Amino acid sequence: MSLPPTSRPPALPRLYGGLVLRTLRAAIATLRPVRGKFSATRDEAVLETALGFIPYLPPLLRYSLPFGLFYVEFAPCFYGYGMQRFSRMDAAAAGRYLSALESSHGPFQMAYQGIRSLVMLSFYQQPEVLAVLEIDVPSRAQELIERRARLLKMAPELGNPRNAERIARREAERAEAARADGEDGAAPERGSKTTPNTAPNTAPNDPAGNGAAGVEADASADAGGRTLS
Amino acid sequence: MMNTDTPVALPPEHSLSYPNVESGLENGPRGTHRRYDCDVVIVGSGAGGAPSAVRLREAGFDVLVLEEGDLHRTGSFRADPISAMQRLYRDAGSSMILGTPPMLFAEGRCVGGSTVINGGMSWRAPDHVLRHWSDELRLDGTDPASMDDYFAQAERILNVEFQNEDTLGGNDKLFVRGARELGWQIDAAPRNMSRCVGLNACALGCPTGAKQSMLVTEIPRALCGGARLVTNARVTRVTFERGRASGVRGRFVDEYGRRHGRFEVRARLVVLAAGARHTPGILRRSLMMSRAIGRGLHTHPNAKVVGIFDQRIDPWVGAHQSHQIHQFVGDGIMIGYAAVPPGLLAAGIPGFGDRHGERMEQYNHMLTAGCLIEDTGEGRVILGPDLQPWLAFKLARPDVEKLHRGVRYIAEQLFAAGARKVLLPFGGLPELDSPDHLDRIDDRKHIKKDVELMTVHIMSSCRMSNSAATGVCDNAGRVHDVDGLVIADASVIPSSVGVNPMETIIALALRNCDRWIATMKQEGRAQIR
Repeated sequence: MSLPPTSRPPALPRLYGGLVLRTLRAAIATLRPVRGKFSATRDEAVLETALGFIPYLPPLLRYSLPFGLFYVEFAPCFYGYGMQRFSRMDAAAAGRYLSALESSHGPFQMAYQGIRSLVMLSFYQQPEVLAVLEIDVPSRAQELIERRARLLKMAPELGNPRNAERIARREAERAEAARADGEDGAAPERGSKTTPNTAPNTAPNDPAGNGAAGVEADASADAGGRTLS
Repeated sequence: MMNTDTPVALPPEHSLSYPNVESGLENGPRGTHRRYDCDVVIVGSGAGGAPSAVRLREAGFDVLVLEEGDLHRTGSFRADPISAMQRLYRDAGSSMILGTPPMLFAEGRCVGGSTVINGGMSWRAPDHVLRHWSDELRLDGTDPASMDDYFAQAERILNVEFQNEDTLGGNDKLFVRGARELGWQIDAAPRNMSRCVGLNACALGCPTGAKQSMLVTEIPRALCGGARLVTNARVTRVTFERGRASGVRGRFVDEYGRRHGRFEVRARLVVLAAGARHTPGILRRSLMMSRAIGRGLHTHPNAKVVGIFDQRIDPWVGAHQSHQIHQFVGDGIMIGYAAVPPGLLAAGIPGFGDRHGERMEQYNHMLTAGCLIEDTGEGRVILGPDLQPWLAFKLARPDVEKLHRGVRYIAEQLFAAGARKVLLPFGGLPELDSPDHLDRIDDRKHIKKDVELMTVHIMSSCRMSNSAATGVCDNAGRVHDVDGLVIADASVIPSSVGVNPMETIIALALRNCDRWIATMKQEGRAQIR
């Protein structure tokens, strides 16, 4: 579903070593719901989504996140848990410890909130979780994209008139140029005023779907078989 | 998952052509150094930059637009929160405004700027705000009558219309019901769209093409008219020659912020339209010393309140803020609702683990509403140690009270609409189970420490003023004491607008463009092609 990146992501800074990953894994295991409907989601999938998000963060956050995780890992001693490390705590103690962090103040709480936000965002992005919540945006998006295309094909006046105005001008110029070149009998272009555009869009032979509103299609859109991927 | 095999009909916005676009990453080894010459260079392609590009190009100038983000066409949008945050938002949506309380801040970084990811609300600046600018700040030509034509032009560009009833979602109906129960004035919100079909993904890049952002209106118009656009181009500073601006310099950057070579642009007019955060940053990096740069920042703090209902709402179905409550705009409080994706909502609801999961299982029963505060406090934009602009904002005492009043109004409205529980944005008072407990909000109305705030509107960091001591630019956006340098974005807005500022930014940009064009033609400074 996600867009492919336009360039190769950078490697994570060296700070993201075994200790940081272990702490992040432990944070995911504690922060996510494990019982009930959400039990099917794998922690590793959440970790993968979270790690994929990190390269997009600004450098300052990208480099400070591991320090936040170091703090979470080694801070239990400040909250009455002795010399235990967070990633080695049992689930109940880890939960109590994170609750204490949540109600603290200052930079430590901000570090915790940053980690928590990353985990929540990554967890509620998982397809199994969205299925449990009965959210299906991709199917609805596809249905509505087609619906709007059909609507505008049947009633082009619903489109932005400024676009229509621009297209009309451009087509007039094209027609003028065609007349000047003596290209009699050329097939009318898609979207031209000679193309009937009141028919419902039942055939997939107008992949750009621009017959009615007549926005000029670029070369890639005209390549045919344009699909949503 | 979208079908990849069957060709489907696509709306016209999927087929828009974008000629004259060059990516800074094309053929760009690290050592690349490109030079461009033009009459006008515009830094930024959002609500200020794109209409300026069209206006200046139509006046005959050779226009080059620089955009730090990439060109993401409508066909590439997926209504998917993570990929939208990664590709369309600056800092992947993680920007913060420092202060007490700290505030999450989101803005766009893509061709079309924040208009690609905003909610699409198109309000004119209220008359009392315009009168403040013209009567008290003495900015001529900003009174309601003078601005009327520019607002009308902005509305034509944006194709402002009201939501069709067949696309309203469950959240809208409950929101309206709550307001009517209380007898409040509720307004249908004018939105920049062309036959919206109600996907409710405005903030993630509209895949249906219905939202008429700059990406599908003024950018293609400018490009088809002959303007040029260079993407992935981050401007670091303005260059000067003999006391006047002579162009800009910067680096090409990819979506991860990695640098890919340098560029330099020579121009007769430099238009900064990089937004209220980065325009002052560019000016500061250009060693401009005016004390007013970055001062007077307004943020429109937003607080969210979530109502949990017995009936299913499906908040992800419908349209974004088709109605707003303007009953309290005179007091500086505007109320609306939003579809917040589950990951973002989960991050905003306190707690974790199974208890948090049980609450999130009710996502389809949740209505998220929020209040926008016309702030009176002022913040600052300063250059951080990384030479990037950092934001700081202090919530003034009257604004804290306004915020609590706004939250109380929303909680009241949600209970009136039938909510059985209301989740509040206060650390010390996370939820209310009954309208009888609303007074608890009043008990804490001076506490600002543990309020969860966010904003998508920042403005006034290089405000217009007749005096160089109190503003960065004059009442036409021309930077004081520097020829050839103008500003056309939210940073010139003289005070907090109190409503969604997109239309005001466009109207001011068009108004100021007319003044620059007149001056340039009169002085014969630019070669008109």
